[in-house]
Amino acid sequence: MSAFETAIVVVEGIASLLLAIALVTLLLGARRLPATPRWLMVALLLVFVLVAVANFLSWSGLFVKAEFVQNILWPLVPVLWLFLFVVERQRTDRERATREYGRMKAVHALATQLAVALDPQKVMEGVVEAAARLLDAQLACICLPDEAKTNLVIHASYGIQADEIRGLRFERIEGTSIWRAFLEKRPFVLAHDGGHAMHPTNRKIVERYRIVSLVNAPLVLSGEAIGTVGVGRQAAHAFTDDDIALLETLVAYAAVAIHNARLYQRIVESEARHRALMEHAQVAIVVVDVSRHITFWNRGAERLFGWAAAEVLQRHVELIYPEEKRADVPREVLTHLDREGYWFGEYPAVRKDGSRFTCFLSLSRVTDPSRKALGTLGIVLDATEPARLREQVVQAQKMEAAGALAAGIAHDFNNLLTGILGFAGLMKSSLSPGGENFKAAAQIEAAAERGTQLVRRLLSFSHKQPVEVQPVRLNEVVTEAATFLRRVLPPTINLVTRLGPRLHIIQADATEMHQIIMNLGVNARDAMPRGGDLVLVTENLDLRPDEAARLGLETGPHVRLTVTDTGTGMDPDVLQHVFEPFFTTKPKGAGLGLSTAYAIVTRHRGRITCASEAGRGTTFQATFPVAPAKAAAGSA
Amino acid sequence: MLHLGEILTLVIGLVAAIYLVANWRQLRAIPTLRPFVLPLLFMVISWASAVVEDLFPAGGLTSLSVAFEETVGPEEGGTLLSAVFNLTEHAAILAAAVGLLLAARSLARQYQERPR
Repeated sequence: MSAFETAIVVVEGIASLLLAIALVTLLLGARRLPATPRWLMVALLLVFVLVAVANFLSWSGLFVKAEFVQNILWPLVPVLWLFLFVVERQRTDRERATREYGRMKAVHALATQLAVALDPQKVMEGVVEAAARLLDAQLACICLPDEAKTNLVIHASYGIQADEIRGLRFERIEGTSIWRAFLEKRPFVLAHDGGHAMHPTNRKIVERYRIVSLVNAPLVLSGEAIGTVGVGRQAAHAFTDDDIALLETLVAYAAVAIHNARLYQRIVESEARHRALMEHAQVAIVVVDVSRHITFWNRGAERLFGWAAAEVLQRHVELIYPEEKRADVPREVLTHLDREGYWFGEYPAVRKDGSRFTCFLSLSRVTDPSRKALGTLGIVLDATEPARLREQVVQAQKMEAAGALAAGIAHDFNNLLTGILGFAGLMKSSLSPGGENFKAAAQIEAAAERGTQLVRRLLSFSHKQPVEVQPVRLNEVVTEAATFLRRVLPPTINLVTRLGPRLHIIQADATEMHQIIMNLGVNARDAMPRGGDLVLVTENLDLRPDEAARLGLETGPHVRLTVTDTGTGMDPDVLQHVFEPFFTTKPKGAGLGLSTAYAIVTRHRGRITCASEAGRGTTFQATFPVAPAKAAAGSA
Repeated sequence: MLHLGEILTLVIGLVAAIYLVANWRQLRAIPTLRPFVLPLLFMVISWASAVVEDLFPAGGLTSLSVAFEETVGPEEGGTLLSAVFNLTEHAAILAAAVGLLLAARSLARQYQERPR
């Protein structure tokens, strides 16, 4: 055998040996390799081994007929090779299609979930988990820019411990993959070393979690990047084009879902803010739909009408109108609303307990952007208090005018009486007592005296007399006045006094206090022609803001005198004129008793009120402020 | 003298190589096929060398043999070029064998049975 032939034999021998080793390695090692490529490779190697061995034997002269084997087997090698390529490609294509289908199904399922998810945080957490699972990754996170867009901040992560991402941010460094993904709106893949393209924060995470391959993809919505999604793998295989395409599909859905969830959250927050504003408004706010069923009822409405929101929602709004108004007024109001878009005015209303009151009602039509009517917004204010205050002002003005008139009359009348009294005295002195003329002069003098007393009362009512206030114990005044009253009351009237213990001292004119009690007592006597009970009560009370506002007094400690009778009482028409001067229902009354009491109480910075019901009796309440501590101490 | 078997082998090998080139983008992504690409190229070189070698001792393409060649070295009157191509043919087979051994090892590592 020549040297050349020997070289060929050696080469063929080595090749045979290597191929045999390869065959065994494949058979024993790659057990998890799919069956088709595995057996094709085995066949290829086997044929190859046989050809190489045949060559070796042929060249070495050990088996001359090896050529025959060679002739048959040699063309099989490229055939098997081609077959391996074609079959394996088909198999991997099928596998890939199946995998892609599975991934797309998963993406579709995720997209369906995301489409209805309303919490942005949950959406982001769902996205990172899905991204990690679909891409067979161990780590994923979503970063959103801060307001200045100088930092990308991690908002959700998968595979990273929560305490490690707290406050973790990617400050803006041009050229780093995460910022390039965000600014250039395309994904960037990095190997574990990453070079200068890896952001230092990325590097920390990569080193901490032994990430080998990393991809950053932008969350793009309407051509604008709203954040990035980063996915990292610990395994050696890098992200393929399919992986990137899948991630791009996923982040496209995610961007829409995150954007929608954030919009929804803003709407919810805005709605909650507006609802809170309406809920906490002190006025009553009621919203009704086009069929006038209540759709909103705030706390103010609960307070004003006494209905809880749960009781009235979806009920017809007519429940707050008095029965006789239910049919007519809404039509009238709606007509104005349709024409002008609003209506306001005073309107009668009814509470849950059936009590009626007048309210200020402001109605506005609510429409959508296309001006389609959605309902009506009503703002309701209790008009009772303003009406009462208005009435108080009118009453005060009336009393002031009457006082001025009375003062003028009293002044002129007093001048006349002075002259009459003087001349009556002169006449009496010039006449002999017991004579007819003397008696007439005495009658003139007595009448003039009564006139003088009337003038004093007029002056008292008209505030023209000076008040000398000093610390007064009201209980003592009441006790003394009760003694006087008993003398003027018939035996059929039972006088009762209930004096409050440790009654506060008030700043008052004791004589005028006495006069109030006498006036009220006499008035009560006249109201009880068949007898009854007259009760005088004194008490301390601490005025709360609502009652103080109702009375027009300051809050805090006060003393109250209550005079109650069980007499004939008054109907509302009489009641509203009860404090007016010269108003009387008695045949011989002057109409000055209660008006004087009113004037005295007012002059003492107090308030007098009257409650009465025909046939049930009357109650007068005079409320006085407590004397300052210094003055009270002086009296003690 | 050309041999039909060698030409047939080369033609099929070239078809495989053309298929490989034409579908390179898809095939390179298949992890089980990637290690078999280089050995195939070596084998194409080997098969081509076998065919070219036959052109020299017989002096042309005029006579075709139905059987495989019996290589003749320079010592036995063959040309030097024929010997070089012959050696190339077998060296390429050796290279392909090395490549296939590496491919088998790579696949064995990649697809070895792991304990669950």
